[in-house]
Amino acid sequence: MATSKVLQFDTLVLGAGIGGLQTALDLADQGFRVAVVERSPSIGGNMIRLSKVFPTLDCASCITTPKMSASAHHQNITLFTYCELNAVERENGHLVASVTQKPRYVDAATCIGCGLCEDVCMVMKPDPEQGGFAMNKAISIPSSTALPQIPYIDPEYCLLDGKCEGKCEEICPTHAIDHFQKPENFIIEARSMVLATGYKLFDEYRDRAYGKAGRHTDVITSLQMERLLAPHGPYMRLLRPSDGAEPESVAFIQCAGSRDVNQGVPYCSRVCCMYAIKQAMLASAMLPLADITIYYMDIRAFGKGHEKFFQDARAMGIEFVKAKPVIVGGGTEGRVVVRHEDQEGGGGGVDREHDLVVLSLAIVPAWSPEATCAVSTAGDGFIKSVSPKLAPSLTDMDGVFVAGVAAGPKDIVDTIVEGGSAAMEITNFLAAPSRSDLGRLPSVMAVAE
Amino acid sequence: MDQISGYTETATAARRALKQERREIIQRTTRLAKHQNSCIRNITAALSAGPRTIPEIAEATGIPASEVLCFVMTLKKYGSVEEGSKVDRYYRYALSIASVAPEETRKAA
Repeated sequence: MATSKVLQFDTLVLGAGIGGLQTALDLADQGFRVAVVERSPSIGGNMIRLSKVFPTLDCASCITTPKMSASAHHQNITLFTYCELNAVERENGHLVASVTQKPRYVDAATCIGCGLCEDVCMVMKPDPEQGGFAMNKAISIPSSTALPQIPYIDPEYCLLDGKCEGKCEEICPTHAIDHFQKPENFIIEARSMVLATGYKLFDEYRDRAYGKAGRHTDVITSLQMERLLAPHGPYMRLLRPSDGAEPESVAFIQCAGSRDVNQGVPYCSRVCCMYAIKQAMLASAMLPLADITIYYMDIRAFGKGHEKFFQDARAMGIEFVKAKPVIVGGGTEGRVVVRHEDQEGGGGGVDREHDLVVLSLAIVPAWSPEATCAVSTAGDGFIKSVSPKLAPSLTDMDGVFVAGVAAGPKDIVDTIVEGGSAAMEITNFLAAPSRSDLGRLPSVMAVAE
Repeated sequence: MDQISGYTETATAARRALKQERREIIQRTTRLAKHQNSCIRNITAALSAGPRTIPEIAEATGIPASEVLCFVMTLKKYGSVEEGSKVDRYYRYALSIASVAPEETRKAA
C-alpha cells in the first residue's frame, strides 16, 4: 500500500447514478476537483436502465445521458469506473480512500469502442443490462448508452484464445485487448465525500412470499419490466419471457416486500405506486387490447402531477384492485395464477390468470458502509441523516455527506435536489477552516427530533 | 498453440501460465460454448426452412421455448436473425438477408 498511487481531490463522490453525477456537476461547476468512483463498468446508475420516467413520461436515457456526457467531459471531474472502495478513513483532516480498479482486460487508453471484438467473440453470457432476457458476449460494451463506451471481458466466460483462437485480439484495430491486466490499487485523498450509492431491489422476497412460484419465468421484477418497455430492450417488444407470446393480460403486484414486517422491509418504498402506474400506461400503449391490472394496498400519488397521472391511468382502463395477492403457480396456456382476497366485493379468494406478473419489489440500499466506512446507518439500513428535517445531507461522519436513495427511497426529482443540497453543504464545509466555525451547526444539532 | 505471430518466448510462457491458472473456468466455458453453438446450429437449421415462431422452433429443436427466445433475441441483436410477420400472438423470426447471403450483401454495399 505504501507504493500505491495517491490522487488528490476536493471531493470523492461514491456512485455515478443521477444523484452522484448531479453532486459532481454542481461542485465541478464551482471549480472544485471531483473524483467519481463507480462500481459498474459504466456511469448512469439505475436511471439509464429505465424506459420512461413518471409523471412526465420523458425518455429516461434522453434526460440522463446529457448529465453523463457533461460529467465525462468536465475538466474538474475524473471518472473512475469498474472500481471498488476498499476502505475510507479520516486522517489528519482528510478522507483517505483505498480504491481498486477491476481489470477490463481492455486497455482503456487505446480502445476506440468499435465493437468488433464483441461481434467475433464466440461465448455468450446472460446480459445483466437486459434483465437476463437476452445474452451478450464474454467481451461486450455494457450497453448502447454506456459511458465510457468501451468493452470489458468477464473472465468467467473468456476462453483465453482457446477454442476461440483469440479472435478478439486478432480483429482489434488498436491491439487493446490485454489478458494480463491486473487490478489496480490506488489511494484517493479528498477533503470531503458524498455517498450516492443508490438502490437495488429486494429480490429475496420472491422466494419468501411466493416460494417456487416467485421464480416462474413470467413473474418478473419492476426493473426487468423497464427493460421490456425500453426502446433498446431485449426483445424490442413487450413479450412474455416463457415463449415470446404477446401478453393479453398483465398484472402488477404492489408492496412486494415493502410495508411487510415479517417477510420484507417495514417501510414504504415510495416510488412503486407511481412507477407501476407508469409501466401500466406504457404497457397499455404497446398492447392496446391487453387487460392491465394493478393489485395495490394503497395508491401513494403525493407529488407534483402524480394524482393526475393516477386518474389518467384509471381513465385509460387500467384496473385497480385493492389486494395483496399471492402467486399460486402456473395455470392454463402458460399463464400465471394469482390469488387475492376480494376486499371490495363479497370477500373470499379469487383466482385470476395473467400472462405476465410484475413485482414492485421493495427498494433496499445497494451498498453498505459496514467494514468500509465508519458512517452510521439507520435502522432501515440506509445511511443515517443526522438532521433529516433541516440538513438532510449531513451524516454522522465529519466531511461525509449523503445524497439520493442512499439515504432512503425517493424519486428522481428529490434525488437531484439532494445532489444539489449535498454540493452546497460541501461548498460551505470546504470554505470553513474547521467544522466548529460553521456557526449554525450546534443550534441545528440541538433541534433534535 | 499461439496462432498470433510476433510473441516472444516469455509472452508465450506467461500466456500458458495464465491458461493454467484459469484452467477450470476455461474447461467449463468451452463446454458452454459448445452447447451454445449446438443450440444456435439447431435454431438456424429450423429457420432455414422459413420464418418460424418461438414455439415452432422449440418444437423443431427440442430446446425449451424460453431458451429459444433468449437465443433468437441474441441472434437478432447480432444481426443474423430478424423479426418477421405476426401469427396470432406470436411473431415469426427469420434468418436475415445478411446471414443467408453474405456475398450478395457485400456486393450490394
